[in-house]
Amino acid sequence: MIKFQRFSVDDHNLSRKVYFIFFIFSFIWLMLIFLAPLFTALGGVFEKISHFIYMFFSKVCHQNEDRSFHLFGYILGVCSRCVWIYLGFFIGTSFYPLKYKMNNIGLPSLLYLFVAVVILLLDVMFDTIGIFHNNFFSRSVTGFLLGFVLPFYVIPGFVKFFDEVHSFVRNKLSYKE
Amino acid sequence: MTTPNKILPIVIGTITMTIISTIPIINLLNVFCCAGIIVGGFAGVYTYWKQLQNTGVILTAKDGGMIGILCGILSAIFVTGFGVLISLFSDINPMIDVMKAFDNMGLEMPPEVIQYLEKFSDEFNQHGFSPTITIFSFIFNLIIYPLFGSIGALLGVSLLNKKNNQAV
Repeated sequence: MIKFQRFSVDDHNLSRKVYFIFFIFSFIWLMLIFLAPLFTALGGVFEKISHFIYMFFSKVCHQNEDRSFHLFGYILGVCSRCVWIYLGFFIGTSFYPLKYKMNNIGLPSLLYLFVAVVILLLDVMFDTIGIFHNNFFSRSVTGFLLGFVLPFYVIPGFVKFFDEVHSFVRNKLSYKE
Repeated sequence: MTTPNKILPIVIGTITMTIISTIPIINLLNVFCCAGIIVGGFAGVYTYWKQLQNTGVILTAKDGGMIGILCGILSAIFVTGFGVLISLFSDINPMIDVMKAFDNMGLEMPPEVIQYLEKFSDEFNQHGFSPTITIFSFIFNLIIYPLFGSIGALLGVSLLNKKNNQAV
């Protein structure tokens, strides 16, 4: 059986929208991480908002005081490794159009993702076993590496997903007409 | 050409996400940017991909993404539900532990935080769980679980299709 692999979607406008939603979403996510301590420092209503931000991020991170960066005397929304994962993700998303067209659905070699995941896991494992204790630098570097490569695998998936959903809805509507 | 039912992949994905998020120690996996939820989304898509073998149907991002989102929504409901049940049956007031932990760390809590903790503590004493925490937790879960579930599922679609193409 011959399979034809597509490397891009036809709807440029849709893929551009998907990319920009992705870009804005990752920016807002990153901003919230930094706004949490800022709002706490501002006090009043802002402090109440910061409680919700911390509560929200407690779902995705341990928020351990010793493993987190501080701003204005308060910890960021997530730990140091997560900060660099999300920062890397945002930078990777920003760099994405320089490497690929926005309507691309092809993936880079899996080796990059594999290496980034293995390095991060080794950093965690060695610390857990006690071979060497990781520090802010190792957590930041390993987190950034994984965060940076992830958009190159996730964005094509989302572009393809929305393209297929869009085609599906369009076909359904035209069928009804 | 008939496409297999998606119920089994959704059930597998939901069970994986829920187990990883609720069982102590295993739920530490979610500390790594919701890795457990991503794994759940991937598990759902992997099950669907297995079902599609020998049917001639290609795994699409639309189906994969939908599986991830549905698994996420269902898991958000189950995880919040289990959280409430565990609180009801365990008879433990976690707010007291939080206050003790702050005391042990030697941190001085702002009066507003103490006020909140006392309010939540009263709710735990009165109902056996905190409705306020449960509602917020459910809202946050409804955002996070489908989001990371779909990321895991779409990663799965891309990786499994790539594997298929390499095999041809």
